[in-house]
Amino acid sequence: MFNLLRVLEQFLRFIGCLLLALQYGRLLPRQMISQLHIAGVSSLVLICISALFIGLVFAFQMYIVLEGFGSLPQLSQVVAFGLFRELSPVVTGLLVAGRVGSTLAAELGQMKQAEQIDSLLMWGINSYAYLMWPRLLALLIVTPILVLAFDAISIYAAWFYAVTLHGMESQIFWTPLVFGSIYFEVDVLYGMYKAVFFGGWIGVMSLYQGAFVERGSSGIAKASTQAVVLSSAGVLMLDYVLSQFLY
Amino acid sequence: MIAVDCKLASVSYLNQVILKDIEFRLEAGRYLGILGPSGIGKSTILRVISGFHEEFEGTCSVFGNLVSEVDLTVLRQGMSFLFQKSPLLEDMSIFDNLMLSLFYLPGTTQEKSDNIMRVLVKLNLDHVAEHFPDQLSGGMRRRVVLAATVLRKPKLLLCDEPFTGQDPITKASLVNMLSELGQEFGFAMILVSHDVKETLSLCHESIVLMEKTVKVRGGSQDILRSDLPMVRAFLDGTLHV
Repeated sequence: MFNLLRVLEQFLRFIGCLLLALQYGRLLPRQMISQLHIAGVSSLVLICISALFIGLVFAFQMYIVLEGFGSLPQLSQVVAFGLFRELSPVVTGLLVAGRVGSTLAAELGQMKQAEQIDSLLMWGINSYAYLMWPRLLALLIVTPILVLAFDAISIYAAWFYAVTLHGMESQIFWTPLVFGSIYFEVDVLYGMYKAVFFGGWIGVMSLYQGAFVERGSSGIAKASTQAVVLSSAGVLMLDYVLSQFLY
Repeated sequence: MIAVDCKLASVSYLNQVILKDIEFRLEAGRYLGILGPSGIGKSTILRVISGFHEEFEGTCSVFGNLVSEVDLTVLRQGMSFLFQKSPLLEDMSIFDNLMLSLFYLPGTTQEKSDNIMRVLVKLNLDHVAEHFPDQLSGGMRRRVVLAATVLRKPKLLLCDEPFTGQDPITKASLVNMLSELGQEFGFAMILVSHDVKETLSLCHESIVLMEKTVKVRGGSQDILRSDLPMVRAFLDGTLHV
């Protein structure tokens, strides 16, 4: 119980320092570019491959069900509904937690152990402003964009399955999606809203784990694992909470 | 003028007392060596002075400012810390790392750039200005970190094991550099090390830490003449911790 309170106090202090560091924002732009690249570009291939196969599998499952009811023209709507609202932001969140969260925790942890963070403090540079905010902001910006990419690739994968493999008319696939549903744009936007929260959560948890890394190489491994576990669990919990508020 | 005045009744780490009754005073422009076996808490003293370690009882002041009371940013402005590990940021060139170390100091970019090149030339590192840290050898990285510390023109330099892992030639060259740079910039220095020969040759006064406290203090001759068995064993390199 005492330990839990100590960790909570440490976490709240971390959040406090993070917020106070906003006043040193002039260091941000230089670091932002490289962090956007690390968080975004390096995750894109993983997101694209996942989106492709999840779109194909989802279309395959729905095709069987809808064919039984004679409702194949609704395939795109059903697939988009499931993908844009839930699967796309959640899977993107989990992939980002695994890919970027672990990297952030390990990188920060290594910098902490190598006394690089202390060195910055000696130079009068606020490590929260210089190291943490660029990484956090990059995740806040990049995660919704990755969700958008996931949406686009997965729906095209579903189109490929229905039209190319099963001979459905392309117009029949697209028309209900674009003109038949008022929820299409809303679903895409809500997925992106969720992604902003997921990105923020992943960033904060991963940076916290890195900033308070234990000594030794096992400390870095532990921080990295904890970052992925807490980020992933948080994404799933946040998804439920946000779904209650957004829909 | 007194640069550092430490009267530490005890220093703890994770609620365990690791040092007790540590007292020393360092005048401006003088060098103090802190000797002792690995893991005894020598580096922790430097971390107390620089405000990174708060678990201590007693007082420690730097140029009259109590470490426990003064704003740490202000405290660290006149101080440089040569860390044991290489604190250079890996995704930046040597020149950019050095520029970053001067980020909050007054002066134009051109002045800072000229200053960096002057120090790099002095340390024979000007040819690696555009290199990245992972392209340098251990000895060169040490010298670059040394450049970063003196560039800030500190009044107090804290050196944590600067000779560890260096070959004898590099050690000798670091001793010369620290001596020359001290004469040029006039800083006071606290040098933590377990390299007896280099520390005693460089520092005006030294203390030897054993069994959590100061066992011997004085100039190099006082230290070398000590007849305490543990200290002798440490100086002779026969101490088994």
